[in-house]
Amino acid sequence: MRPETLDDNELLDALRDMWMRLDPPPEDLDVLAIQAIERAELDDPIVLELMSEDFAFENVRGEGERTLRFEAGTYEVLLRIAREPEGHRIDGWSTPAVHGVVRIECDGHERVTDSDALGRFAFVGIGSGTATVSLTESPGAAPAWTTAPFTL
Amino acid sequence: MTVLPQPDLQATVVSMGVGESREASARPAHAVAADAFRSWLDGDRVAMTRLVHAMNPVLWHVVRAYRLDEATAKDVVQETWVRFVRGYSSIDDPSAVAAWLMVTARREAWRTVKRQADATPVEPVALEPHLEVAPSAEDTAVDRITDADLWRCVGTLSDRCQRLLRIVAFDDKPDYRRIAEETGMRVGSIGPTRSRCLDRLRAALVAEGQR
Repeated sequence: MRPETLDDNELLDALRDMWMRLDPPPEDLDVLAIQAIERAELDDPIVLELMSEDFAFENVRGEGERTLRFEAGTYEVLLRIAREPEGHRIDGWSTPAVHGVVRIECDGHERVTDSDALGRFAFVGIGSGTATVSLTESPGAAPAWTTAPFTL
Repeated sequence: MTVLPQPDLQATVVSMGVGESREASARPAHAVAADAFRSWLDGDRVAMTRLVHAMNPVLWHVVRAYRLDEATAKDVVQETWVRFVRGYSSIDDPSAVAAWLMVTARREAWRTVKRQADATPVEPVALEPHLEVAPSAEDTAVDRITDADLWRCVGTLSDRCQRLLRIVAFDDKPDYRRIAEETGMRVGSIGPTRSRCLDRLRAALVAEGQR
């Protein structure tokens, strides 16, 4: 088997075999995967902790914008909150970016919207109070994540 | 919660890629995965272990193509399965489950690479413990390309080439659009780039044989 005689598919086959032999999956990978699946099936959403809060253009009446950044594991959510005459406007961006149903609960009131393929979503006219935002990826499934409570 | 039984590692012989010739009796991973996924959707909880066992080797190599260290790669594979549990209902065609998992794994791996702004690529020394120092008697046969040759020669290629070749070696239906996004290449250039990377590898192997 001379290298110059190998076509592309044969060379890729040889590479695949080499990587399988020299860098095999860890022996515990299947067990770890099953355990991760079992934990996910417990339906406990990941709670994203507030990592930072930045204010911009805030005036004495508390108008303006602020940006909250929530994070846990590989999940990150940014919420830009602006006060408008008809209530709060919230523009969100989540990673990993997935289509999903995003829900905001604020003092017993709930609103729902969809996130787009880039993980973006928006709410308008949200009242004041203590709120959480959560995302559900599949109909009927439990939320994948929920933010820690924050104040609007 | 349903406690899933531990996988029977001898239960299923799985081929890692498209090559039907290498193991005539082995079924491609994507076919085993599709059957297992259908069974799982029909209520066979044990089928999840077959799905995991079929796809984990593929997911491992796809993730390692991003040069993540072993611990991080394990985390990414686990996160891929978590995302599967939360998003499987979006897979309209069960035969697409392998592609869905591979795309998700690559997306997670790529995001992890980007998040780790200070991520240090895996040094060769960290990947080499599995490499035999001395060639075996089998490897010394005339004209035989050894694993050691391949390892050394592929290591001389650019990071982009190494990643691209490892992805396409294990993904029989690569998503060129997403690979293009991740590598900064145009979709139309991936095929030619793949060919050029293989040409460079071939040339490196020839040069290695002439030493």
